[in-house]
Amino acid sequence: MADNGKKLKDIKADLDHALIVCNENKERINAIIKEFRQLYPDISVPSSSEKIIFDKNLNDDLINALGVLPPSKLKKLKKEYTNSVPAFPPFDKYDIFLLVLLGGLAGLAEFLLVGKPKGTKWVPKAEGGIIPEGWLSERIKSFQLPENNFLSKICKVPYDKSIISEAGITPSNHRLLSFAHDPSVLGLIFGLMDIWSGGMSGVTRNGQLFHINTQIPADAKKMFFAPLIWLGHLVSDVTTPMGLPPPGWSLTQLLHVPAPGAPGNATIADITRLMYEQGYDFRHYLAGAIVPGLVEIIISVYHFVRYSYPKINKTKDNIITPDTALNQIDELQMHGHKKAMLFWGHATAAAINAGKVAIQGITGDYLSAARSINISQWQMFALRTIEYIHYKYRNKTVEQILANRPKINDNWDKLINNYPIYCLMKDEEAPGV
Amino acid sequence: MIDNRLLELISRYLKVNPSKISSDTKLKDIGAQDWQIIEMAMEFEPIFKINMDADKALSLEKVKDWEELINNRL
Repeated sequence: MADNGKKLKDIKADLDHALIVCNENKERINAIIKEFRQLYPDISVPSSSEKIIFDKNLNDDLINALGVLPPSKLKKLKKEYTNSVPAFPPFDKYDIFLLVLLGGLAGLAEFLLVGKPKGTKWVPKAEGGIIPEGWLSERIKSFQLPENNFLSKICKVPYDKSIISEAGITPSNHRLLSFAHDPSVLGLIFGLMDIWSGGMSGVTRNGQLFHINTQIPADAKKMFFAPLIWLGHLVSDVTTPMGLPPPGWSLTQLLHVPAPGAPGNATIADITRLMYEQGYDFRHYLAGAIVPGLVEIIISVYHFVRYSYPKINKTKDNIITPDTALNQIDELQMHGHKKAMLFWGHATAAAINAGKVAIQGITGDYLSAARSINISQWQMFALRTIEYIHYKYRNKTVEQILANRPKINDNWDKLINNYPIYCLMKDEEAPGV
Repeated sequence: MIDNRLLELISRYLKVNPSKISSDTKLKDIGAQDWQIIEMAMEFEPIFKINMDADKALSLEKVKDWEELINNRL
């Protein structure tokens, strides 16, 4: 690389020198052009030296040089240049083997550990079921505390009203329809607002937003401890039979649009509400995270073991060398490789989940098929897809420059060897002569 | 004569005119799906203090079956 850099510097100096001489030798240039046209009749060459604009700026010279090429050649060169750096480094046979193995593991975890959530009493016993209840989901949900556990007595909140008939709020869905019960940032924001104002904010079964006052606003002490009260209340609810809704699930209650293929014109809000009422809660969501968790851990460990090795990017004196850029490009591409593996790993796991939903869907029970969806997996897949697309369309200019440099240097060498550029100069001016 | 509270809840949940609901009305005839019958049972359970589950709710075909269940509660 260092040699190439030096060579390039030398060539640039030679070229600058040659160009100065060239300006003084227009007759010779015209002779060269004539000769060039005879040698390469398919390339359009300016008719005289006047049309060749020499500039000391090498980039401009290159642009001018490109300007004399026919469009088809230019197009070919551009394509070659663009394709010189692949969007992602290709997978080798070990990478592919790991992804296949991971697909198998994800499938086992999906069917055996996650499965379907343990149903509440609102699941008909006659429900057709091919997919069993997941072992991990069942184990997590088996730990239960009564509704009036000690923490619920300490952390009383104004948004825990469980029967509001006009809003369609029942004990089975009040945690889904009140925003403050959402185990997410949204829940925290509404939780603090509701505790401070002494109210309850949420969405009715028909998709209308509401806020009602349920008790007097909080005193100074309660205001100060509001975040802890919110958290304590969530913890007290999570182990009750109905549990908490999955994070962000309360927002689905605003989606009053028909769910594809759902019976009786049910909306997305209806389906997600039924899913929660029939047992798809925060604990099952956590159990579902075992699949994306496996994908993340296995790929990260594999990548660390196989592809990470110490790189020397800087010298003792912290001087950046040409190797630094190459190392950084190498690192960037390894990041890309990992991102691609994660994307395909999660795509495989998401496809397995889609298969699971389809298998359950064979029974014709829409809701049991909906409860087979692994939301954790699809969220992770969505996140990794965004990263994948973002990386794919990154600015690759520097990578392309570095990837093409050896080829450019080779071509300079060929040009110098095959075309007598030094003939433009007086013998004594030619370097190294 | 249907219990007014029950009539109001059924008509509001299914978005059906109360005048179209009688004791002999089958819930499925006025457009109720299984999942809607189950959800109605969730709503009726605390209001009428009845003990319900999905299978019990689906076994109640007509409005009068609900009335009987509510009237016979302990």
